[in-house]
Amino acid sequence: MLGVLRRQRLSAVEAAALRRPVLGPFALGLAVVTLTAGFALLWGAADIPPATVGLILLHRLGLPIEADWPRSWSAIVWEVRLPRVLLAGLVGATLAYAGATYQGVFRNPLAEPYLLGVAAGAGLGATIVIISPVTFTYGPLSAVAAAAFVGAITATTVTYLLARVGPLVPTTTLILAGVAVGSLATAAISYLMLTNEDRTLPVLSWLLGGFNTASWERVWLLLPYAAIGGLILLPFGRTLNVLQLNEEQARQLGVNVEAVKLTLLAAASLATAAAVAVSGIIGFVGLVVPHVARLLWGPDFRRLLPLSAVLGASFLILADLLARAAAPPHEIPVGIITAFAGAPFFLYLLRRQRRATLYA
Amino acid sequence: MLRLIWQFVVLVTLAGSLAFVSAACNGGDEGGAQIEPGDRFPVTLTRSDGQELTLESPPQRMVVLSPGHVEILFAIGAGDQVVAVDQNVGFPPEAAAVETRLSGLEPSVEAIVGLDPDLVIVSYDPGDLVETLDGLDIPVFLDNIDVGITSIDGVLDAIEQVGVATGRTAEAQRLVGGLRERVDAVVAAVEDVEEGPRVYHELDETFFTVSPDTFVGDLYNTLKAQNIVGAGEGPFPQLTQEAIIDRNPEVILLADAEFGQTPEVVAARPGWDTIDAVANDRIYAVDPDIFSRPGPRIVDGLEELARLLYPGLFPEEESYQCLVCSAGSA
Repeated sequence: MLGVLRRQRLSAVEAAALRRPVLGPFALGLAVVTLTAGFALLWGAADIPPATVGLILLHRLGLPIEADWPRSWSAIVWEVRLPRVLLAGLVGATLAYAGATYQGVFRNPLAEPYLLGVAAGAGLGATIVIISPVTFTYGPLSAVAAAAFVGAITATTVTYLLARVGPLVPTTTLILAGVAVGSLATAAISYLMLTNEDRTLPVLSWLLGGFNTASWERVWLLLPYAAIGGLILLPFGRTLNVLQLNEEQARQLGVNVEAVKLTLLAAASLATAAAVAVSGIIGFVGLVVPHVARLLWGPDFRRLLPLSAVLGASFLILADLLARAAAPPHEIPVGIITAFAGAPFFLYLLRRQRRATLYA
Repeated sequence: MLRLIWQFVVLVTLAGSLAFVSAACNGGDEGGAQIEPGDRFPVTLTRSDGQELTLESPPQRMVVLSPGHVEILFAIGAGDQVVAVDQNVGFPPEAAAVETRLSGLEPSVEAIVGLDPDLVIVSYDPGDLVETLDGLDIPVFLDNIDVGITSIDGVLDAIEQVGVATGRTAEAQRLVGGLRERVDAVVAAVEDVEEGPRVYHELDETFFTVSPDTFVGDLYNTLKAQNIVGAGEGPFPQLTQEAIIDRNPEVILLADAEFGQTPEVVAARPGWDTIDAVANDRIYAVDPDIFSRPGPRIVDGLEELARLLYPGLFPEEESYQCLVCSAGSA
């Protein structure tokens, strides 16, 4: 199987040339994320001078700096703002690279990480727990996050099992099964919301997504899934490029299409499930960010995956900044902000598509 | 000959049953609807949608899909005039015992009409229910007390209005008189207070709270407490954690303790240990029903808040039992 790929091995020069365009932009992207995160830390409902924010961080990291600020500021910067920014970055990165993966596997520009029922399943799990009168914790794991995660995995597994035909999982069937499972879960969520009126507000709040309850625990919770998911997906950049041909041609080029699809979707869905479990259902990131990355850096998946991740991180950090600091002390649901950013972008994409078809 | 006698017997029986049935029907009209001195029927009520509703006589078969109105009705002794209540009603016990319970959120028009009501009371209009009932000529009173009332006085006025509408004006006025006395007593006790403590009233775990522009907020206004949310920002704003920590409430009231947000859980939230209320252990769980329904019990709520906010001014009696606290509180 690998023989076919080996024949197409590039010369050392060509290989080197292809390697460069990834690291450069990626390093730049990381720098941008760090700057964005730093910028986001300076803003919030509490008026803390920027210099003090820096000093507080250094103080908390162990440097011998005298603490001449109120304890509440230290708590705000280290226990509220920092985990929130980090979580937003992690979730943004995860949704973005998962979105890029889905778009690659389904070869469809409208694909996004919630396609196979992750969002609806997570929503149902979370809703069931939110309306129950007891909330318990498994150590650092809150019941809502755990239930959301389990719900997401269950829904995705059901979708996969429904769509499987022997050893094959046809892409179209997969999408249809995902839509069916998603609709069922959404209907169940609506019913539960309506029959438990006094809990409608917390359920809606969770469904809209947000980082208002972000904490270090949630960061540690998401980090392994986000990191491992990313590490699994990263080497598949080249394979994804090959998959953009139709599946039959990819098979002839030696790619084990079914195994690859399963691995990619499983890794992306797992990471997405963890992201949704800690932050609710934030839309548009998984859909729009890979497109922007494609516009900026081209459709090569070896670049697209890591660069979508850093772009997604910056985007969601900024969106969350607006969510918590645009109208203090109020919290605007971050999903609304991503939708406001995403919708015009889609109109732009549509115009480009129409023009391309017109002049093709 | 026999045939004639038989026809005569049948005719007499028929006539007799007709007379009996008509007597029974007419007799039913006079039971229960006593118009007391002070009641002046017909009364005209103004609905929350601006339209007017005229009642010719005290309603005897009311379908009440608003828990707040249910509490008021039972408090003024109009419980006998109610045939169906909202399914979320739990207080008073007599109301919870009413057999017919309907959904207020997704009402079944058929079920309502099937009960043959002479008045339907709702506090908001789910899915054009009011329009449908108007079209069927069923008197419906849309009285948006849950969001429309923004003060204690508003609640007392609503109680009086319900009394007028149901022919229980005297009882309603007695009840309101007693409630006003209790409110005045609380106001007098805090007269010398310049500035009350900063308070944060939590509605749910994503930090929704009540602003001073609500009737719950008015309880805090009456007690001169400083709500950490200002007026004019909407009735139920959602706050960021940062804002709560920064504004440093001295007392925290939890309306979501039943759903896991007990004082212990709240005190353990990361970053919250710098808040005065957490440091001084002044986090209290309160009964969410009392603080969400505009009815006579909000005065119980006011008195309880007074004790929690000003322990020096309102010392506990020996046999004190917190009537409005839920299970997880101090």
